[in-house]
Amino acid sequence: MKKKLIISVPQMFSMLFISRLVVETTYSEIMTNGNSIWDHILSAWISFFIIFLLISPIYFLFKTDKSMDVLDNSYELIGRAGGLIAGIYAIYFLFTCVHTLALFKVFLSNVINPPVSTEVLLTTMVIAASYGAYKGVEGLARASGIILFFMTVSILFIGISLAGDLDTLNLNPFLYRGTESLFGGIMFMVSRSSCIPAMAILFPLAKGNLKKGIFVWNLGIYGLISIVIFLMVGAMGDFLQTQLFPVYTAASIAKIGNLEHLDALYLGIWTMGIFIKLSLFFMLSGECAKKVVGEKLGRFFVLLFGVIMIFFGIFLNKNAISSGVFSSDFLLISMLITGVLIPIILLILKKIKIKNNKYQSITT
Amino acid sequence: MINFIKKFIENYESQQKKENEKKTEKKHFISNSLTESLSFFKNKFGSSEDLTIRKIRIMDLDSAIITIGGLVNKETLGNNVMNRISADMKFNGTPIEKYEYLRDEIISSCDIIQISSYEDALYMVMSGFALVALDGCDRMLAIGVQGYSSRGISEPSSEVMQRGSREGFVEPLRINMTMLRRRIKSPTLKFETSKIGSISKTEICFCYMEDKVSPDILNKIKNRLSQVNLETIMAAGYVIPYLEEKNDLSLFSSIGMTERPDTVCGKIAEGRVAIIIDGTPNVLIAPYLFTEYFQSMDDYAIRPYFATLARLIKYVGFFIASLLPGLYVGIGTFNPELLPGPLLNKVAISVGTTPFSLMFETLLIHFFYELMREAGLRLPKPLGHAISIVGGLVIGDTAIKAGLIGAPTLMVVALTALSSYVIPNLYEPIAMLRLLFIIAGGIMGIWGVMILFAVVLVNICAKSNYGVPFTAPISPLGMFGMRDVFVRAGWKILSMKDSSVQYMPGAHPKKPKEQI
Repeated sequence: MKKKLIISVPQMFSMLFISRLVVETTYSEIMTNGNSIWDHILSAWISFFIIFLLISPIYFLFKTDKSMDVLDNSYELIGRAGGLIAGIYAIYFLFTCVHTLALFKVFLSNVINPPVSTEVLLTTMVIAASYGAYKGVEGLARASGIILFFMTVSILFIGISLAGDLDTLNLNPFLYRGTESLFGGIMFMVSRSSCIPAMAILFPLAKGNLKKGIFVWNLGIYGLISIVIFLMVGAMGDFLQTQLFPVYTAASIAKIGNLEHLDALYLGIWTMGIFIKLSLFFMLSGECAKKVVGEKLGRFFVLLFGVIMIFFGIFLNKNAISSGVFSSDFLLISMLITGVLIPIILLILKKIKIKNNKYQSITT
Repeated sequence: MINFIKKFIENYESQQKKENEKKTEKKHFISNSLTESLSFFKNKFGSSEDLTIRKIRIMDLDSAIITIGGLVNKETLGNNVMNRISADMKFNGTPIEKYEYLRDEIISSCDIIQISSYEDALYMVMSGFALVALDGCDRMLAIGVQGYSSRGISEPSSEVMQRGSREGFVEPLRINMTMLRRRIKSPTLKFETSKIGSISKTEICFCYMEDKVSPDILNKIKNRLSQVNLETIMAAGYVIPYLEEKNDLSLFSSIGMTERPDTVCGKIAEGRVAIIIDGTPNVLIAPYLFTEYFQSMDDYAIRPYFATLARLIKYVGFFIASLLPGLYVGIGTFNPELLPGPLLNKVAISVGTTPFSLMFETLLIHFFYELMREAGLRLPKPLGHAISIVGGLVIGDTAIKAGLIGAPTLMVVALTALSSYVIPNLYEPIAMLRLLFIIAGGIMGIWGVMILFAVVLVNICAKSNYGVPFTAPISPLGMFGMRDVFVRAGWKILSMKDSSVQYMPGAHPKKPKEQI
């Protein structure tokens, strides 16, 4: 079935940029088990190339038929067993939602003292995200465009204010403290690339130059991260090593003239970023579930997913966020299965099918 | 359960629709007998004083002239009808031939309509036409002699302009149509009339530029208005819900409303459709975009530099009016560490010396403010001024001195009120949003405000009407469209390309070219 092109490529990448930025601005040495944030600039640029490689199976699968997403392809190639793949994607997107929600919880309980219990806030956030998901990809994509503008301006503002405190003495040579941070950073950045599996569903909905979009998106993410790390380390040095959310800390000490406490800006943009990411992945998980069980039963599953999100969001604690299923290893494996392995298998099957079709048409 | 309720509502709506259709379709044809026709009118109007039936003899036939007192101009009626037919007219022939002779040779009005059903006759006589009925004829003549008094053309008080036309729409539909025709002397400007309201039979007029409008949008508008199942239409606001998308729960309307003919002309030149409703000076514009709430005719009459500044002030005003009280309550109550030190001291002193919580205090002042506003709106102007003096100065000042409310809170509310008047068309959604943000901030602090802001943003962004995104050209972004959003470019740039609404980024309706 031909999909309707309802969003533009820049809109799609705005959503994915925000989803990525939400994760990238929460990394810390504590999460990556490293000892030098400065080396993460190198990690970012190595990740930049790795991401291109990881996207390529989805991109080439999409190129074989631009109207089909990974779920359509799986149903076409392996019949009803395609439902299994849709189920895997639904679980992965739900898992990403829970991970994002847990990250939000850690941030709430460790950095800012929330006015009400974190459980109430998390539930409110899930309800709000459900509304965002209900409004659909078109509304989310348009909202992302506006939020991205606010995000960019806010980050620039924070960056400019930090630039005044820049001290070159804080800038060590790269890999001065070994390669641990470098690899930890790469692992952190690549394993949390949940946007890659999301692309497998979103590509057929977007109209425009995809190649250019992927390049600008990837460059934008890692370019911005490099600049933020440069300014943070330059202004604050080793102090950042001890912070759970260094970007937030940097924002809270930044000031321009009488304007201080720019952490309010960070809080605002980060909350909206979390909202967009949760809504997008919640919507994607719902779409996958609907594909398996149909529209009517799918609605029930969406409701169930919401309850699961709230349940896990409430019971996960700080330790859980970086261990067990939320460890970088597990995140990497799950991302590789949904973002790389399944698309590669489907791509091979599709190529074989196309070849067989060609052969059959020649012989008949 | 939900499906059952939905089905029940759908069935009920379709039944209502069918009944309405039946009511409107059923017509009673005019009888040959004058006595029967007159008794029909007498039965319908009963003892109503305004029905006037003047029995006369025309060409040896019993005849009657039926009018509604106050709706006709007696001088026109005398000159165009009575004087012409009361002279000794001689014509031999059947009643139908006499009727045709009267219509073609005698009556000197150019506004003559032949009526063949009682329903049409009733509608015409109540629209200020004089009906001429001849015995033996199964039809009547409706002659345009309208002469009801109406308000003169004046400047609309809600859309005052510094430079430009001082004309505003009035209540009679035809006068409003002429105001548009006078400004656009092009045959492509079309007016199409229709009737809605099963009892009021209110005349509405679709006004559009044939070469600019998207036929897809025009058809959708006509189709939606044909589904109006109201009995009476007393204001433009009655039909707005029918023009918007189904299940649209947004606080913002994607249907514009104006009292200015120049604004309507500008909009229809951009491919929009104006809907003029008889009896109201408010003309509806569809589709309407979010950015248009921040535009006014004055912007185009002054130099672009100042117009741009005025635009930016309006956007800042919108954010202050909707967000500031919520942020103030949220940060002041739960996240005071986000405030700069000196400001924090002031707020802390204020909160510490007043008996109420910051949220309750802000809600209370807002309630009093809305109270004063409502009182000021409904009262005569001199009293309205007194209200503002008593409310603003006396009560406000005394409440602060008595330590009931804090000065920073009062200042925030005053600033908010002032900002909301910068964009008067958005006053209602802003007032609602403000309350919601105060409650969100008071319960969940800055988090609540931010989550609600994101929800409102998605709500606005997901809104489309007639296939045109409500937030275009901001998102989906259209660089050329942005020349008239935050910045008002000069006229040379504004007029560079066709700026019809169907060409907005992300718009789905078929363009005229595609339809051909």
